Amino acid sequence: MDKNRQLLSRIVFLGIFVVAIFVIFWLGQALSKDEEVQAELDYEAGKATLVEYADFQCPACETYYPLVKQLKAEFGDKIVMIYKHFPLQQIHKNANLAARASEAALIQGKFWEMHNIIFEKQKEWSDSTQASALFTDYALEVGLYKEKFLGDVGADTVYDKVNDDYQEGVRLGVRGTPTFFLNGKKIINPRGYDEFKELIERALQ
Amino acid sequence: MNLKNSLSGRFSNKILLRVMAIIALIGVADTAYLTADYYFGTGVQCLLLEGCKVVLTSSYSVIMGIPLVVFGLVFYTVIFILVNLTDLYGGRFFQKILALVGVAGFVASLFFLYLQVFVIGELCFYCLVSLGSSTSIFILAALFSRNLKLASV
Repeated sequence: MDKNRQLLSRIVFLGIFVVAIFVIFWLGQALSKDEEVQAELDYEAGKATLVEYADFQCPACETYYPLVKQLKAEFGDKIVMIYKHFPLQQIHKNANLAARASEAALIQGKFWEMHNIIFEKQKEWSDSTQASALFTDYALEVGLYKEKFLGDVGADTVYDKVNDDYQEGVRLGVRGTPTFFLNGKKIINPRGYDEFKELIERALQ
Repeated sequence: MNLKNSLSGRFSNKILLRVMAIIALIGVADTAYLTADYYFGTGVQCLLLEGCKVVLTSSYSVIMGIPLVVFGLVFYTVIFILVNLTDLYGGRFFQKILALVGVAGFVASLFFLYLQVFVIGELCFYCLVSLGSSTSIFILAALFSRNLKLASV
């Protein structure tokens, strides 16, 4: 009986130990995270700034792509869209290349055109072994200079930009894609356009 | 010979069990910290090595929808309970389970080290702490089994 009691007290000690660790880190997060995220993700007063951490190869991101596009069309200048790269390279072999292709397009001022075509043709390049050639075709389609595009896709600065976005996402608690931050606050992914629209309208009030 | 009084090895069984319990608590703290981060997004501070976030968000960090850190937390909790069962009740049964779980944890940790070095290409400080803990538990459990064997000869 005495041994049973001793064992129970040791297990209770372990339970308290684990709970204490959870509480300490959860409290730490609750007290500091919001400020940290809002400081890191700048947003303009009076406008809704939507930051999306996404992976061009992720099917869920492709599902959200038309919704985000529709939001931009509906809210116009009232909404600021920021796309950040979060390529899940372990499961999506062409995700990093796609991210670099869009960054290379940004250098020639055509990020969103490239962004759109990459999402619209996701099924075509996702599992392709010729993804590089396909992205070059898309680049020509949106009017980019081929040689400049090819040079930029492999440039260190472009690699770094994609990697910096990824690291920033990890730091801000991005766990999967897409993850949205509205005016600096992480939001639960809306289940449809109307829900998304409502969130934007609330942010604008 | 009485289990509690056997001092056939270099370290007494009592000391081995105490050290194992402390190491199990280190493992519990390590994995509980990572579990808290996974479920509450508390944020992990990478210590010494830069790769912890890459490792902890890689596709290998989750098995069947359950994060590996949860398996780690369960592993160290089981070790802690087994050590205390062995300490309080003695007997070969708990010692054998302890040795088996110790071997399983050690093998799993070696596999995770392989993934970090050769597949992901980054090392994570907290995963190395866990590797150190599981290796120590494996060695101490082996010493403990040897002590018991020698004592029973």
